[in-house]
Amino acid sequence: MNDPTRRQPRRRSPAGHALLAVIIALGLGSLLNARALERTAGNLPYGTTRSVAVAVTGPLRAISSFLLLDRPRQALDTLLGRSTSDTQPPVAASPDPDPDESVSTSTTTTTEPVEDFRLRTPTAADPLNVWIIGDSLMELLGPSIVNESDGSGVVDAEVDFRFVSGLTRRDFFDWPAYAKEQLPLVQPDVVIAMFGGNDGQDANVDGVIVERWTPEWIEFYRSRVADAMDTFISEGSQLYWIALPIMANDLFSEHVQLMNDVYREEASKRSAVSVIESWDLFADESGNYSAYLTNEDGNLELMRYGDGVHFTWAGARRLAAAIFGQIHDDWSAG
Amino acid sequence: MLFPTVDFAIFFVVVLTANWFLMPHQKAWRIVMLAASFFFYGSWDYRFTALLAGSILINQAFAVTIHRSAGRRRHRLVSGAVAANLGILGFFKYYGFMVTSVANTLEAIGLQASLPLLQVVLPVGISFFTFQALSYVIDVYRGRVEPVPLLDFGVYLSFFPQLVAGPIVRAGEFLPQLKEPRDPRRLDTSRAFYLIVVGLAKKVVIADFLATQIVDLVFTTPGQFSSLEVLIGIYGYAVQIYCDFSAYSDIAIGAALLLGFSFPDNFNAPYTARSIGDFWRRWHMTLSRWLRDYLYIPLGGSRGSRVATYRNLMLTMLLGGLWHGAAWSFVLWGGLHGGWLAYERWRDERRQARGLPEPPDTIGRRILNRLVVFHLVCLGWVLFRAGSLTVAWDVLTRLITGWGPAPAVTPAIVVAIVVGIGSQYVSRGVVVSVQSAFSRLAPALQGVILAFALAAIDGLGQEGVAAFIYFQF
Repeated sequence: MNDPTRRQPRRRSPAGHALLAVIIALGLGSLLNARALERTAGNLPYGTTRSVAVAVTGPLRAISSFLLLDRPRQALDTLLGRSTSDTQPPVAASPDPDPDESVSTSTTTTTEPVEDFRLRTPTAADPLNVWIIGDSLMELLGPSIVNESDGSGVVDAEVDFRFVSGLTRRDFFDWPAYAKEQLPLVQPDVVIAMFGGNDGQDANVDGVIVERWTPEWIEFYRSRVADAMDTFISEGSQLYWIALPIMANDLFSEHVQLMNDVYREEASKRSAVSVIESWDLFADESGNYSAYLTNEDGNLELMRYGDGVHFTWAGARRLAAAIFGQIHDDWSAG
Repeated sequence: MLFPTVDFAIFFVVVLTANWFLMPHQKAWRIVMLAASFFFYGSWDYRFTALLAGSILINQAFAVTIHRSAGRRRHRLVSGAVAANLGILGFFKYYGFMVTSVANTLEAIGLQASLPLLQVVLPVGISFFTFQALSYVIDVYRGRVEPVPLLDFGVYLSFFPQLVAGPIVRAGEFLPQLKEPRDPRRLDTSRAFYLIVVGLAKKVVIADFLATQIVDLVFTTPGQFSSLEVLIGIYGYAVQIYCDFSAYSDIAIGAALLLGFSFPDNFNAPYTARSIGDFWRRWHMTLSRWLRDYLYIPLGGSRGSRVATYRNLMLTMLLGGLWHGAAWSFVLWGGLHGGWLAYERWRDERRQARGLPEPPDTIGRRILNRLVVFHLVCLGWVLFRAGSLTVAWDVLTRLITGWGPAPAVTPAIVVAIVVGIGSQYVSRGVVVSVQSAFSRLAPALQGVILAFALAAIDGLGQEGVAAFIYFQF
């Protein structure tokens, strides 16, 4: 008797009406959100899908702009304090470096060692300020480093990672530009960085698509790594760069070794940069990938997720212990 | 292919169009819908489609054979079907846990064993479609459902709206709807659109926001946060998991409605519950019903002694906990709920035995009961979210010991939590009135309103969409 559905029955509709409403909703919704759609399309890996998506969303945005249908979304973004620029990356994207110039950057314009760099002994009153940055590999590794350092009482660590980010696609997220904004605010003694999980994709160098893993791509990537390292140590921080671990996929492991070589070579040119190796930490006794490894208590544990790339909590703790061990040795922090 | 993505929107428009154009041609409709569902499932990992196809073939074979058999053979066959389904589910869900447990136990007693250390990838949705398959086979065994043609069963088990994270739609609820073509003249579109829009808003605006702003931080590094921040993180997770999981159910039910199918509800304002029993009648209702009908009642239900009833309640909830994954924290989560359900039953029985009346239903008692139940549920969520007893302990310890300011608690977080809980107190009459008013609008105007709603949800949401929590189960 009190059932509200009896009082106010919903009117049923024919399927054609439903289809019409759905098509109008998605069509008009696309126009209202055209800028966001164009940005999403632009963030896709280079290839046919991205080309098609960009080709569709570009004119869509133009129509939206012409009809002023992008204004409500702009107003909402303004209200929420978000950028309303066309590309709207999380931070202002710095221009892609010229590939030739980039090569020279990594070989001749190496950052000079910081002359007055000294490792101090942190205290509870003046803790070691650590900024932990990276891609999705830091999702559990970052918190594990924080938890590992928690007991020391002399480390103040902050995790700042971004899913799907990396060094290849500054149009998606520009780590050097972001770091330039954040470093004066965070003022870290130590930066711990881990990248590479999403970097194995084609790059756009001055409008030319450079195929991943080619010698040209390696040089492009070297310039990106050099630029990132220079930026991360630009405020006098010590940088610990975490090299990538062995991966389940053999081919990906080969490519990871190429990236690790770049990290080591670029780090060797900078006294404020140390590379912490992780390859062997996730290999079995034969040097092969193993998802299951024995932990410090002698128990077998699953260290890597099913994708063969990301760390489980156990894997993250294993690497975090190695990283904190290195920091402890260098800084007597704990 | 996540619901709140452009990919899914394009996919759904194509499927929706094909669905109604092919409705008069039922054979073609079945083939296209099966192909669409496999495409949807394969978008996660094409290898998983072989598992889904295998499950369809094996369970259909069992169902047909059981239907043709009699006596003990019938019983053996259904046992075999249950064992096969749970065996496959167990392999994918518990292999890692089992192999490490066995290896570490052998190591502890000084034995070395060379065990096959396979890296098993958990196929998304396996827990859900396995339970649906079991409902079909068991209902055929019980004589409640007749075996249907293989194509029909394939459409049922793979039907994409609910395939990955429920609701768990039983064979007896879905297959009768397949018998006749759906009527294209009388769709409950306003309810469908309401569920889809509200589901998207819950997921994109509230759940993902709370996850990134407070919940993930508190549960990964509890030592960094004060007691108040940890408390808000726990409340935040209670709202996040509700808004995330119920959003998937809402969108699935809404999408199915547009395709002409009616699914059972999966949530009914669970944080308004006044007892844990009430909570389980409102939370993941299709799993609760499944566990009741295919586990609790076969165990004996409440037909035996009082102790046997408590045991059955506890076993059901412990296994319900284990269904979520191989971790002691899930077992303890199930135990907490099972234990409290048993306590509520004992309390009510004792009161009845003494001839005492039910306590008066005052506002104060209602509020108190809701607060107690909500906080018990939140305690369970700590175990559920932590993933390990160690982390759960760290969170709970920090909750008590971490006195200090709470700079991480922002007004936006508080608003999201209040909206997430407060929305459950919105009267059903208001919801129905809104749906009713919407249903009277012209389709074009409905489309325009929906467009602005979608744009607002996208604008208010975070950059990118996180996977639904229940995909991992």
